[in-house]
Amino acid sequence: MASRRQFIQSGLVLSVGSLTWIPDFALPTGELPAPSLRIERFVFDGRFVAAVELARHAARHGMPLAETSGDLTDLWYNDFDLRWKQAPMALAGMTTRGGLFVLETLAADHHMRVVYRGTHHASRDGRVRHVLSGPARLIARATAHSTVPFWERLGRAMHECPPDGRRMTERTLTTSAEGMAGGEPLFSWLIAPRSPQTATI
Amino acid sequence: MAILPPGVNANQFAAAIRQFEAAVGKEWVFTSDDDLQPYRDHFSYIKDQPTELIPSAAVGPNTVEQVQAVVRTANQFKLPLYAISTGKNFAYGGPAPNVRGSVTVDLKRMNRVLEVDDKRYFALVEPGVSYIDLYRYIQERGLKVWIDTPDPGWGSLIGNALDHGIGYTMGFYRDHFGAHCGMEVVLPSGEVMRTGMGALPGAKTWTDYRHGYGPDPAGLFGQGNFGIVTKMGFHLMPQPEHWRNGLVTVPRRQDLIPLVATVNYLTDLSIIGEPWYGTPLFPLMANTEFREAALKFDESGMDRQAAAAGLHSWQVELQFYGSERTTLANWEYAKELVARAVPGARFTDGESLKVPLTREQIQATTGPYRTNMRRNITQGVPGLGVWYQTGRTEQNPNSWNETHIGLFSLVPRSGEGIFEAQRAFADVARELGMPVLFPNALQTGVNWYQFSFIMGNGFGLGTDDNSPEGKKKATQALRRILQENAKRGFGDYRAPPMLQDDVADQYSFNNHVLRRFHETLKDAVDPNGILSPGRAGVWPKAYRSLRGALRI
Repeated sequence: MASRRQFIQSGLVLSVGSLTWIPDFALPTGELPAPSLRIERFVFDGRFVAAVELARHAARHGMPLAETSGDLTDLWYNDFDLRWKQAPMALAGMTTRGGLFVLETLAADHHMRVVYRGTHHASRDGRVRHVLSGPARLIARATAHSTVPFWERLGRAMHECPPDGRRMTERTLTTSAEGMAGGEPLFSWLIAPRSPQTATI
Repeated sequence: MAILPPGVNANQFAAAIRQFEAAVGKEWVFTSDDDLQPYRDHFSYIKDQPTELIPSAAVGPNTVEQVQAVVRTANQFKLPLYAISTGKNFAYGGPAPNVRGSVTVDLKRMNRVLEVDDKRYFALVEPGVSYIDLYRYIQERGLKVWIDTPDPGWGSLIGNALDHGIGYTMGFYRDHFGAHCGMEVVLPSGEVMRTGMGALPGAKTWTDYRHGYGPDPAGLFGQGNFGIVTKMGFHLMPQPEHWRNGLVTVPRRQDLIPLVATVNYLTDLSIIGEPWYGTPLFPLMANTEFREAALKFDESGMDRQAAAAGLHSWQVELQFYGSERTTLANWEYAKELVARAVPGARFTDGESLKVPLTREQIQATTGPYRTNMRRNITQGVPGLGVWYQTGRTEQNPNSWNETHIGLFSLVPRSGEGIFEAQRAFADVARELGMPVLFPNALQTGVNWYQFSFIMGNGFGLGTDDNSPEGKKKATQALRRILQENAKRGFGDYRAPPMLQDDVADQYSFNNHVLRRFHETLKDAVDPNGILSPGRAGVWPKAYRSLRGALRI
């Protein structure tokens, strides 16, 4: 590990139980805009229709896809571990909670953190409740009133909106089933290098 | 939520932090809430409570000399340290310290594989080396040795061994602490000590002969707080040429007794690897008659229903390592012995595969019979797949447990021992008014540790109540389970920090003489009590008042 920023993430694992982990804050005016985020892989759990659908939209925006059936061992060993040992690599994806937990935990050892998190849970009435937490621009784009199907909106928002760190927010909305038919909740997410911060005593 | 170590004021803490920074570099000392998030236990039953076990700071040394400097600073200011390797032991508290406000010593930067030898079959590693790291090191160099990996394989070899962790291949290697050979330790005084042949300067046998000369203190560092381990040697299993498995089934409930006795013989003669016990009878719990028989431990009733369903009562999967001929001969021998001991036993050949297995063979889920064996761990291949197996259950429809603790009791390695434990655990559940999550009468032991069974009891509490009150109730239930288990002679082999006092309480022979012995030693070698106070229930004088402080 070559730098403090790298090591800060060693073991940095955010609470998967909390949906409000990103505080709503604003940096002072005059801050430079954050650089765009290049997403190297979109990880999706191919067992779930909604994840496949979101991946399809991600691919349309040029994100290389990485499919899993739940077990992330091969992806980790053959791809992400090797890449992250060289340099931080931003990832996006839609997986089960277990999949996100594994990547979030390993990301922490490689100088990364979850910068956007969405929970998508189908209820018995056939609707899906989405709770999205992350950069305000991303959330606004994903939750804007629109006739564009939700996964398409979300895929575009994840691609177009870098985690600029200026304003984070959380929003909840409900949509039609969108390919989710009950079952366990799915999680959409973005993992990216953490912005540098200064620790104080 | 900035906190201070107990007994240390803000000025002293600030001065200590400056010394830590001077020792390891300012960029490797962390005090902000955000920086300290990685050092929390995600699955803690007391998460976000005022009692949550969190550190006041974290320090990331990169060399033994830096560890020594950190320890000397801690002594100067009398502040508690808590050392972690990779901090991923999430069934047992993860990176959480025993004392709130401790300074975490994160050894992840010390991640060098120092040596691997595939003729003398050993590895020497630093604490930040994970099983996945060592596996990659071995594969990249084409070395003919295996690791014995826990599941998942992202943890540290040293961290896992020091917590008495286990694996899944041949008996000797499954006991990770038992398979260690030599360690280097930074003592509470800041001095560096080496155990075994490492104590003889210039010896080339540090990773060959573990005992050295005289009393061997190595055991004090396993689940102990007598030093910070900075290097550790491990005996490694030679890569075999061939692997074979087979299924043994026995018809009647009581057949488990001769079956286990025979399997023990095969295990202790090093003829088989880890045996995987099981039963096909769980689906019969939907049958009212079987269910009633199982809940009452009505053995003849259970046998009758099993026979009517065309099912056997017990099974064990055996696995063999060696050459194609020796594995076949050993399987034939195993069949002969079991057939002699258990009339009516049946055998199904499994697979016979050349090692190393292909990725497809490792991931295969179909075969000559239905198997519960996770094949990668039988092949020394670390994985992450176990996390995706924590799927939805009727009791947990969200498929994810907010809280997670492993509670496993040691049970005699016999069929009689299993039967006694089954009844005891059922009695405990009934007396405590706990829901029956699974029929105790169908529970088997695991043979992770070669010479004992380990059986789970208590951690599957089946609650979806993740409120603070719900977690408090669950914690209280766990504590009572530990007490009741101890009354019946069942002790646990590992525990998270918040339950370590309770497990230590179980080992109460002669008025807790074992703990008093440990604490006498602790006070002698660590007079300021700075190293991981409270670990495994061993409290130094300075912090002894904290024993039991988390009991709610």
